[in-house]
Amino acid sequence: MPQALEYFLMSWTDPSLLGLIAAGTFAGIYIGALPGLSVTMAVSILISFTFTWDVNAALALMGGVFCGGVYGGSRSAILLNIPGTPAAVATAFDGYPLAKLGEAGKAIGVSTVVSVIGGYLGILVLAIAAPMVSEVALMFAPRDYLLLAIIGLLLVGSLSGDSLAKGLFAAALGVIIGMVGLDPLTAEGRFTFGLVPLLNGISYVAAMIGFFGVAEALFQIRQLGTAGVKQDVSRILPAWRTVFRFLPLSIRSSVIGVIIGALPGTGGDIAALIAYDQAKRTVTNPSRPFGQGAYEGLVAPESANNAAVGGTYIPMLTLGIPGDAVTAIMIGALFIHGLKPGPLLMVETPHLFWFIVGGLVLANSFLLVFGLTGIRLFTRVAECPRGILIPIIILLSIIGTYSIQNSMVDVYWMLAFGILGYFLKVYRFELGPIILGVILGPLMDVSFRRAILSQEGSTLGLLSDLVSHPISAALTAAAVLLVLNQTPLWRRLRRPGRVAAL
Amino acid sequence: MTNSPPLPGERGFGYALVAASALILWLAFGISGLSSASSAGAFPMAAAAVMLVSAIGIVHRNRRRPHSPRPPTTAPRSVRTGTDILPREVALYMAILIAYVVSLEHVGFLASTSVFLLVSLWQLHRRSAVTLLAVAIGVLLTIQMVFGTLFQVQLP
Repeated sequence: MPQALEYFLMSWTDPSLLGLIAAGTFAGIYIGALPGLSVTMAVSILISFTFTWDVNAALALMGGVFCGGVYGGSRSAILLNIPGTPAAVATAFDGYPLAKLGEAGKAIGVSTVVSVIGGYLGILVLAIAAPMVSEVALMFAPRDYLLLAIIGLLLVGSLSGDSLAKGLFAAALGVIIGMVGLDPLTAEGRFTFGLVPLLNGISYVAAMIGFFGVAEALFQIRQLGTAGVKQDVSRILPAWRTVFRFLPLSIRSSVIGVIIGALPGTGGDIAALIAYDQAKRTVTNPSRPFGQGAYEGLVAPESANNAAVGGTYIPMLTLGIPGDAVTAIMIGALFIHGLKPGPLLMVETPHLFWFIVGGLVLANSFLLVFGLTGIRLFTRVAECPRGILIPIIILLSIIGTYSIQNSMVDVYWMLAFGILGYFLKVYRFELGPIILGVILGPLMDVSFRRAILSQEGSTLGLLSDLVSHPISAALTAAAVLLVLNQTPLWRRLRRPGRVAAL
Repeated sequence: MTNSPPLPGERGFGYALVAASALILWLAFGISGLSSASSAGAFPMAAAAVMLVSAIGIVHRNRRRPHSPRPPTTAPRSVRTGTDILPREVALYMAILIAYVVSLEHVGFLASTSVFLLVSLWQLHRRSAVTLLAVAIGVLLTIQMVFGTLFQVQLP
C-alpha cells in the first residue's frame, strides 16, 4: 500500500507533472467551453503531439484536458445555450434558463462545485473498483472479451443518436476501418488491394482526428453566423447552504454517472442525460420547474458527467475496452507508448494505475480553483470568433496526423474521413461509435478467432461455451437483452405509459 | 426516433451506404471466402454484414418516413434545403482543404500553409486585409514555435 501511495502522489510532487495537469485542466475548461472544440478532438490531436513524451507526462496532460473539458462544456451550455461538449447537452436544459433569469454566476458556481464532487466520487469508485474488476478480468476468456466489446458497441449504438441502425452502421464501419491491413494472426492482407501503404493498416489516430477534428470543423462552418449572448456574470462562489442542499442529489447523480461511465461504450453524455431524467422523475419539489431554471436540473447532469470520467477509466484500464470515445483515444495513446491496457496492466504496471488516479484527483482540485476564478478571462476567450478557430483546428489536425509517422498517406486518410464524417454528421449519424469500432474491432476479431480455435474450429462449441460458463452466460444474456430491448416485442412487454427514457 | 421527413439527399445517401456495404462485404468475402469461422476473412464479413443489414434498415426507415418536397418549417433552418446539406461555403472550404493538402507535398509547409491560412481566414472571417495578415502571421509563428520547438514535431 505505501508503494501505491507513492505512485499516487507522483504527480503531486513532481513540478513538471503538476504543471502539465494544471495546464491540461485549464486548457480543457476552455476547450470544452468553446463550441466547436471538443474534448475528443483535443485528446485525439494531443496524442499525436505527445507520443514522443514520457508516458506519464502524456497521460497527465490528457487526463487534465479530459476532466477540464467535460466540465468546461457546461459553461457555454449555461451562458450561450450551446453545449460545448455532448456531455453538457442536459446541462443546457436548465442552465440557460438560469442565465436568462440573471443567475448565470450562481449557476456556474453550483455546477463547478457539483462537478468536482462528482469527479471525486468517480475517482474513488475507480480506485476501489478497478483492482477488483481487473482480478475478475484475469478469469475472462477470449469469448468474454468478444461479448464485452459487442455489448459496448450495442450500448453506444442504441443509446446515442438517431436510431439503432445508424449506431450499428457506424460501429461496424469503424470495425472495418480497424480491419484494414495485415491480419495479426495469419498475415494475410485484408482490404489492402495489394497496396503497400495499406499493409500497415489505417492509422487510428488519423481516423480519430479526421472524424473529430476535420469533420467537426467543417460542420462548424455551417454555423458561422450564430453569435454568443453576453451575460452578466458576477458572484459565482456558491454559499455552503446551497452546496449542502444539493449534496444528496449530487451524490445520487454521481453514482448513476460512474456506473454509466463504467459500462463499456457509454460515457458522460449518456450519463448526464440519464441523471437528468432520473432527477426530473424523483425530485418532487425542485427550486423551479424543470426546464425553467431548476438548480436540480443543473446539479444532476453536471455531477453525473464528471463522475463518469472516473467510471470510463475502469473498463479502459482493466479490460482494455474503452468506456467512451475519449478513453478509446487514450487506449490508442497507451498502445503508442507500448503499453497494453487490460487485466495485466494492473499487475505489470501498477504504478501507472495509481499515477492516473492521483493525477485525476489533482485535475479535479485544479478544476475547483480554475472553475471558480478567471471567469472574466473566460468570457473573453469564449468570444474568439469561429472564423479564426476553424483554420487553426484544421492546421492542428494536419500537423498532428502527419507527425505520427511523418506520412502524408495518413493526412489523406484524415481528410477523407473528415469529409465522410461531415456527411455522416449532417445525416445524424453519431461519430463516437466509429472510433469505438476502430479500437474494438481488432480486439473482437482476435478474441473471436481465439475462442473458435480453442474449440478446434467448432462454431457450435463456441455457442455452447457462451451459455455454459457463468461469466460468459451473464454477458450473453446482457447482449441479448440489449438487442431485444430495441425490438417492438420489448415495447409491448413494457408497462404502457412508461416510455423509454431515451 | 424521428419521424420527420428525410433530409434532402438522405434517401440517396442511404442507397449509397447500402451499395458501399455490399461492396465491402464482397471484398471481405474475397479475403478467405467461406473456408472456416476462424479465417482472416470471417470477422470482416460479419462486420460488413452488420453494415449491410443496418444500411438496409436505414433505407427502409427513410422510405417509411413521410415524403414531402417541402419539409415542415419546424426543421432547423440549416437543414431545410438541398444546398444546406452541403452549403456553398462548406463545399468551397473542402476544395480549399484538398488543394492545401495536395500542395503540402509539392510546395512545402511554410508557403502552402501561409496561403491556406490567408485564404481560409478571408473565406471565414472576412475582415480587413491587415487584420487577416496579422492573424495569419501570428498563427503561423505560434505553430512554428509551439510545435517546432516545444513539442519537437516534424512539420510536413
